[in-house]
Amino acid sequence: MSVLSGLTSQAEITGDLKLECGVVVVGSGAGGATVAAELAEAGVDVIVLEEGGYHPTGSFTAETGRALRTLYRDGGGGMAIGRPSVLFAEGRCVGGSTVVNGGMSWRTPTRVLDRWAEQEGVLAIGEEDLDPYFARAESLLSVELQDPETIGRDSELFKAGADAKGWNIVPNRRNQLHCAGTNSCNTGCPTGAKRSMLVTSVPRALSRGARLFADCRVDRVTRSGAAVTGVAGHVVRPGGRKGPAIAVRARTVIVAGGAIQTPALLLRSGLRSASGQLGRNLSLHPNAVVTAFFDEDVTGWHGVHQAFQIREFAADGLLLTAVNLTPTMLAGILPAYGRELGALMADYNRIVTAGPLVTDTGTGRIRNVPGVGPQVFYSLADRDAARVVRGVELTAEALFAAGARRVLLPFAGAPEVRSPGELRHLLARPVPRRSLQLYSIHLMGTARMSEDPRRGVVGSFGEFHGVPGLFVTDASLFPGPIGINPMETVVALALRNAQRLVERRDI
Amino acid sequence: MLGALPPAARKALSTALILLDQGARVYPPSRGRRFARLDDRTADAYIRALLARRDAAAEMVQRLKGVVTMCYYDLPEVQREIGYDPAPYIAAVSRRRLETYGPQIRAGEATGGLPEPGQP
Repeated sequence: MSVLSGLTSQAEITGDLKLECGVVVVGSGAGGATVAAELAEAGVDVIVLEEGGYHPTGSFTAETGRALRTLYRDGGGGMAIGRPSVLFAEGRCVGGSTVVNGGMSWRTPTRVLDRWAEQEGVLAIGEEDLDPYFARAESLLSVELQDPETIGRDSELFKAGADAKGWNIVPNRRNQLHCAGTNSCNTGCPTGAKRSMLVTSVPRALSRGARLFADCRVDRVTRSGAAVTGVAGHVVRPGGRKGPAIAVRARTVIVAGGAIQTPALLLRSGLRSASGQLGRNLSLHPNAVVTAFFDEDVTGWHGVHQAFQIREFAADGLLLTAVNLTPTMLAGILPAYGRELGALMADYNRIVTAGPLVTDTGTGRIRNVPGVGPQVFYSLADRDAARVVRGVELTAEALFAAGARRVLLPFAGAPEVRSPGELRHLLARPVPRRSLQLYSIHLMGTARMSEDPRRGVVGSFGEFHGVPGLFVTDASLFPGPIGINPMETVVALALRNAQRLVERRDI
Repeated sequence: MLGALPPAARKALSTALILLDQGARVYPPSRGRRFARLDDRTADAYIRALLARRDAAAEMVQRLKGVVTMCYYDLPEVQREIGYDPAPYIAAVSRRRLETYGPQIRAGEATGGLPEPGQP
């Protein structure tokens, strides 16, 4: 097992730690690792604290259970409480969610950037402003189209369905260096082909002198008066036991724990936003899974995790994709149990799973609940519920057009559907919103940017309004949902905000 | 897998399992027996009756079912039974990747991760 120079894990920490640096970064995902690498390259003394452990590429296998235990927060079983509740997953390891995401890398749509500029007055956020940062992000992360030999039969069928319907479908741009198509994105890429932070910005930061402490949970941001003075936390021992205390003194604190953990940390540190938006405004791109059965052998795990996206309905806030799920994950969501589930799973290699991702208009919030920790509440808007149903219908139509014999819908209690006619008949009646089975992997918006402190938590470059030296750089920054995979936007904003920090020369 | 859950979720899971088990006593066809003592047919009918309620109890059963079936289908021998055995496939395509793109991969890794050669 290789160990990166500059990286310290919990086993090496035997007593309380007191450290000092120029900038302390909380989190090593897309935002944290990127900003750490940029600042370290500029000669800044950087410490990164990551709550999760260090798991090198060589330790990755296709075992879902292992991945859920080691790479995800709470075993990947987060739940946003609401009607319906939405299950979500967050990465928790060195490299953050980039270690377990699908690797789709898309620039922020121009219409979204324009909205951020117009509605929130965010500065330097236009397409021309961000182009250089997107280009650099794509270079750092090797963003390319997939090599054709790695596209699996499930993706081919999905594309065939879209083509038969005459819909616009595009090949994915992914942060990958000649991806082998192992379909292991969600369990950690075993080849290192997926250019997650673990194999890009983390080693880049460490090679330039940054220090990274894994297994270190930050409990609070420390302050003196209005200004920040650093962070305080503790080492996380195996099994989640609390280890020695860790305190880092720094004039600049950058929080990059993701849209759940970032506001939770800031709130439990006693920070409040005049806007009232800290921990609110959560968007999560709700998605649902349609399961289609084909006569032919699909073996969807032979090939890349996700190869195409149907963009035909983007203007309606719908993105349709096909993603192969491991047996562990599929069994957990199929609407059956016992012998019935066994019969469905026996056809595992004839299944294509696909579904819609909705640009949501409803919002949620994060609250720290005593004895429980950060708890997420989310209210699915009626309009979004209708879009989920519409997206499910369109996905099923594409799968039938590709030759699916039967389809299971993500509505509790819904019968199996065997034709487009049956589908239309079933959906002619309203689908109860409580029956929707929803998931999320895109969490955004809980420390939103706005130049107006009455509307946003942070300014245009991520600095917390009214708290000098405190910055946020993750998807919490987004003023709203972006309708596509968020990683490249997070990286580009981190590059931009790091440059701004260096130019200010007060770190 | 359950060990990865936070303490509150583990406690909730235990409580849900107890509720499911003891709740069967008030399900008339069980004739006062707990879930663990029911025959297959009655146990199945009990679960279906709970799921049909579409209330909090149904959601609880749905979540429990998710956890239990995830644990079961995470077992390698169960996965092999349904034709899922990814290790040999991963080894083969990983080899193909290196054979086909070795030089490009090494060049790309140099630019994306560690500093480029010649830079301070």
